[in-house]
Amino acid sequence: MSRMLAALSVASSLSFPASAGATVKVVTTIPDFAQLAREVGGDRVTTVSFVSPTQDPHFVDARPSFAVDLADADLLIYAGAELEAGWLPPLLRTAGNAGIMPGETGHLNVATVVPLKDTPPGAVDRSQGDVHPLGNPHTWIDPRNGLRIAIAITSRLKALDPDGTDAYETGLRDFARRLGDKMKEWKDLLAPYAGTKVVVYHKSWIYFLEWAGLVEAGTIEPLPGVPAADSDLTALADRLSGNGVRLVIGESYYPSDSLGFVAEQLGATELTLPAMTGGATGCDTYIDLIDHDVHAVVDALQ
Amino acid sequence: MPLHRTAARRAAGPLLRLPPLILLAAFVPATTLAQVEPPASATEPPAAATEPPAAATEPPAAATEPPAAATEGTATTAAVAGDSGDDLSDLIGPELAAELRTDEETITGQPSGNPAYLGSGAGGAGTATGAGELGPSNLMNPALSLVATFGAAYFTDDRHVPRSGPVPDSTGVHFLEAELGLEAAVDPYFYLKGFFALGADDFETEEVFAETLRLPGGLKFRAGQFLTAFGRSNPTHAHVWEFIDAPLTRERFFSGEGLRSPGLEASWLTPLPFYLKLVAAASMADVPAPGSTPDEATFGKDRDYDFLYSARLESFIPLSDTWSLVLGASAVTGPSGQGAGDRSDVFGGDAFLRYKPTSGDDHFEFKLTAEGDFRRRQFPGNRLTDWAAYLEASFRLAQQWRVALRGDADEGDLTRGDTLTGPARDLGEERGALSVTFFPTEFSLLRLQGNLSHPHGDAWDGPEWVGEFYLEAMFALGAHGAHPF
Repeated sequence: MSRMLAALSVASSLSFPASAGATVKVVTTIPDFAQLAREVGGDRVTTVSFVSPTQDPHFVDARPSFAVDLADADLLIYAGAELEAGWLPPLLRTAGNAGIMPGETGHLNVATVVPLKDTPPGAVDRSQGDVHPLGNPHTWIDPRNGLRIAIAITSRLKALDPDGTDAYETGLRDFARRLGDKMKEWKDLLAPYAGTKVVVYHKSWIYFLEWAGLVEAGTIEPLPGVPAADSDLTALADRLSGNGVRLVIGESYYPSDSLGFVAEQLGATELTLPAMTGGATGCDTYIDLIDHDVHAVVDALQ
Repeated sequence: MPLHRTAARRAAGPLLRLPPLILLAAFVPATTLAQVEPPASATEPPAAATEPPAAATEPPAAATEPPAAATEGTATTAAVAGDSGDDLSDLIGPELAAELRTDEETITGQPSGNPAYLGSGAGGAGTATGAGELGPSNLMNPALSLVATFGAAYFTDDRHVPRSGPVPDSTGVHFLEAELGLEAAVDPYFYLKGFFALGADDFETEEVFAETLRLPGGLKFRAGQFLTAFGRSNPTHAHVWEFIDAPLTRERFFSGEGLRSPGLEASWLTPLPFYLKLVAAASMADVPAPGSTPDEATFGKDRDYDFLYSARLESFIPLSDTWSLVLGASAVTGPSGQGAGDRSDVFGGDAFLRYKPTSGDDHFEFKLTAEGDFRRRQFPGNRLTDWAAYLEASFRLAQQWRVALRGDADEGDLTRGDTLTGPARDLGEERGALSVTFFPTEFSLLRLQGNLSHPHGDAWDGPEWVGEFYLEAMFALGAHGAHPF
């Protein structure tokens, strides 16, 4: 048996040519990770991302063509914490690519390189809705996490393609410098609004809100993943009226009439924000995305 | 060290053998030093990584940066590992750098004194609970799931076409089945899945198979008992259907339980830029019979070493980001169970069209499935052919509602002769079905379904039309079953 496995391992190592001279193929679930990989890797990487930036990342079809991309990928980057649990695992098994299996250098689970929030203190079950038992997976929308993810990507790219070490470090430095400059700018813009209360549709903004100094006063979904009925909307509006909520934030794939209703009841501003790179015009890069969202929030609060 | 290593990983061998944190520590000083002129250590990470002191004692590349930064960057090992060795701080400001470093500890469990900046990507915050000091730990337990299905039925006439599988067979309330599922990676090489149907008074192994995880060249093997990869309906489990009952292709040719038997399957994801998969399998010819009499069975075992051989070709065509098309062709051949070397063959073609928008908030989805199968059976001195087909359209009208329509038929030339057990049953059927499904979450559903069945043929002595009405309730516990495409 062990001899057979050894033979297989030799065969598999032969079938994956060294990436020297070639580009590193990076496959990601959400587009932000692909864009960060391009920031770091420049033209040493090619990227493919599965989730459309205007699509709910919880519910993605496991299109068989994704398995084709995974089959010859050098690096897989995904959000983790069960965000993609409904569709990514069978694709990974179909692809059968040893280099991107869990535990390998080519397997980057973002939830292991950023501090997760909302981690349930004890056991959970689905009576609490579609909770993520490992914590909230919507991590990338905090620019500090963007930097952490870029650093992690750099370390993986260096290990997979040692010849590109200089290029990757340069790419990371350049990205970190631009992001750092922007973060100072954003902080100044947001400073006057610290403590402002907002309502969100789904609990997908906690990383952004905490970084931006805003406070989540409630969610429109009564429980994670459970759509709000009219009675839920009214109850939420009753509970929060007079609470000083100024923004109602949701992604484009959540019902805008619910956002609008709650905003109107609370005298707040409805704000549909992209949560992924490419999710709106002018959000073609990760930095542009955060920039767009910060300015949208600041404009709405002015 | 895992047996598997790509050439790239072998090249990076020295790096990978190091604790990830050291790897990153090596990266961090290089960052600052390289502000003006990359030091030698930046181009030789393995060397630097294996000898942190050497990297740390590199002379300062330049001191044009603010003095404080230059001092930090040129500090010794202690500074690299210490709280002032903060190289990215030039770029992102000392506050953010300090913040990244502080919560690094919560992620890696490592002392935050070493500014690794979380780049290792290794491990998680594994909380050591349930570590079974008095016995085996439960941390490696497989994913468990239980899908319970209940049904109520009303038939307009007691004489209706009998169905097989977990579907109500008479007017009344029925416990249909609870499907118990266990799955997990066995080791780096194999993944094991088991599905067991617990009925009211029986236990049945639906599928248990191991599949390979890391074979090169797009190859994958499955061994065990599994549903044969034939068409779109046969390999699926009942709880993912849009209807409580199986389409007539499966019901008539393979039984409501599906065609399954112990065997070995090889599949090959061809190295083409598009999805094209070839599947071939050999499995025992001893399969459950679909009808009440052996002559209904497509296959049967004449000898101990009789096998079924099946093949499938499947292609996926992404028409756009929102429209997908899957085309498939399948064939299975084996002994007909009638002795004398007689054989049965089934050939099928299928198409699946799916629309799922990637923007908007209305959740609308559309699926269209078509499958047609042709069967040819040899009997002593005789050959019978028949066919079955279905067309199914499903609309997701709102986040929690789906409506589906299905038309199916099986027809055939069954009148020509005798089988070992008597005359072949001449029974054809056309059937129309409508289902409305309310699913509060992915894990529960309530379904109302109406069928209008029109059986005919010499073997049919019931009414010309039979109405079948079903109420189905399904609840799923445990691991989030991945959705097949």
